[in-house]
Amino acid sequence: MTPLIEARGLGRSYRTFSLMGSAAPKVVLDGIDLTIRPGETLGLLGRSGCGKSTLGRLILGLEKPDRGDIRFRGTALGALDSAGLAAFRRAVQVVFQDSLEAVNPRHNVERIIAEPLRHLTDLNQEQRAARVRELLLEVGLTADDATKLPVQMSGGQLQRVCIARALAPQPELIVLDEAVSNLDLVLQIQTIDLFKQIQEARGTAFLFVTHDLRLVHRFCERVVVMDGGRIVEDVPVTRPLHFTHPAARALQGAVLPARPTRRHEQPTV
Amino acid sequence: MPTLTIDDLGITTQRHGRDIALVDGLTLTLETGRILALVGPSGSGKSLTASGAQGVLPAGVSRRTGRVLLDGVEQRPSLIRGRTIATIMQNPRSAFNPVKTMRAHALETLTAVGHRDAGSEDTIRDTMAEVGLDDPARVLGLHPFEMSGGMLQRMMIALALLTRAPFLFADEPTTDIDLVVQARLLDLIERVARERHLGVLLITHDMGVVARLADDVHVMSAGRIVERGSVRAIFDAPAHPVTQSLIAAHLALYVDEEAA
Repeated sequence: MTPLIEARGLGRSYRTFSLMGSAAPKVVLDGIDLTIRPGETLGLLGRSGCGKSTLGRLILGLEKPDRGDIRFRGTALGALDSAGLAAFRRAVQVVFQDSLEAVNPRHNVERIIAEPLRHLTDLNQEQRAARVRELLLEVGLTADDATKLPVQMSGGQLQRVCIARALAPQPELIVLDEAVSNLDLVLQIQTIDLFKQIQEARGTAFLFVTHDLRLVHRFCERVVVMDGGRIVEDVPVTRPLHFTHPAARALQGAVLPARPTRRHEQPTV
Repeated sequence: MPTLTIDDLGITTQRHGRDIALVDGLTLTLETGRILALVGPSGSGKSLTASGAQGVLPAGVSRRTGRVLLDGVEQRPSLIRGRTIATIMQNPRSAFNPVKTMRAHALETLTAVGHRDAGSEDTIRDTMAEVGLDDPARVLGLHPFEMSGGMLQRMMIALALLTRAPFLFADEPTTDIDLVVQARLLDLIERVARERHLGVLLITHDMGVVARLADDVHVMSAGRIVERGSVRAIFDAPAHPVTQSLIAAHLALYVDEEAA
């Protein structure tokens, strides 16, 4: 089966500027090889600053790599013609962490969700409105929510609007960049269960960028761990996970306890 | 044992000309040397409880009822803020003044609570060492943008300790911080709370943080406390439906370990 996305030898550096002049470029991605197959759920795990969000942006085509290339269905992104590029833009969607920052506060929910339909499909206005209603129901909102403004919704509801917007062009891959991190734990689990339903119903692939190993267990089939701009683990999600790299094991060791620790059994002084 | 009591706290906002209760008749007591976790869904009033008790509420929100008592004696909110209660918050980056150095922040804190004297520089360096900020002399000259989120949160804890307040409000102190850094910060909060015998109000939505750190737990829903108990009782026998859903959601993330 042709991979949906295939990254080969990706490298990316950022140059920082300060009052002291420009510093040496900082390498944020180095020699990344990564394959995403249709319909799979891949966890991308790592500490702050490891390069995971940058890799997500490259896969979305929001940034270009300095070295290496990314192939969509076997064709390098740079070599896609305009029809191929339009197909890529429909096929790969994203949900970001901060839903309030990710929407125009003056647009109502219908307009927010319909935006990719206006740009990426040839549906007319009535068809778009009908599609928005379907999408609202699919993510657990109601048709009445279509006329609300972002400030009239809770964080969890607004994140569902962003999920509906990502689903609108019927993508094959959704990149979730810390997409549940701003929600409380009950909502995180509900949202992940929603992603699972979407996957069962549509066969969508997910790239789940996170620093929380607990959520990887619940959602992903395969997990890639990054450290210092490199991929240091690429393993199937098993119980328990078999990590060998020290950076991956450090993440494993930092998982919070499920239940109160033994300290609490001792009387307090 | 010194206690801090928030008594009958009521906080409201106006919607369509009507009062909406955000915190409703809330009473809780902190003891020095113990960590009390205040948990609940987003929007249940946890953070408003902490800010309302200290008389710092956002615009459009007002305190209608409530007193704060230190060892049974009513206190003015403006006098306990910083002196009796120190606060650390989520997102340390927005809690610092971007154009001031760490030294300026530390000196400002000491001045505000009346502890500034000839030995301040030494006090500041000792406190920074206590929270694990190596090389205090260098860090004191840094601006917020030159520091990581974990370093800034350590500095915020150092500033809280500089006030010598006996009570600490920690509002989602590690939410959205790298998991490895989070584990170290939780170790640090536990250590300084024990060593300095602080009474801690720990606000969080993550029951993993509660399991790691708390002695006692109060559960909030829609502005009220709906369940109180020891951390063991809350995990082993949650009684209220809200508590049950919090515990169930949390344990669902550990199915592998629970089964193992």
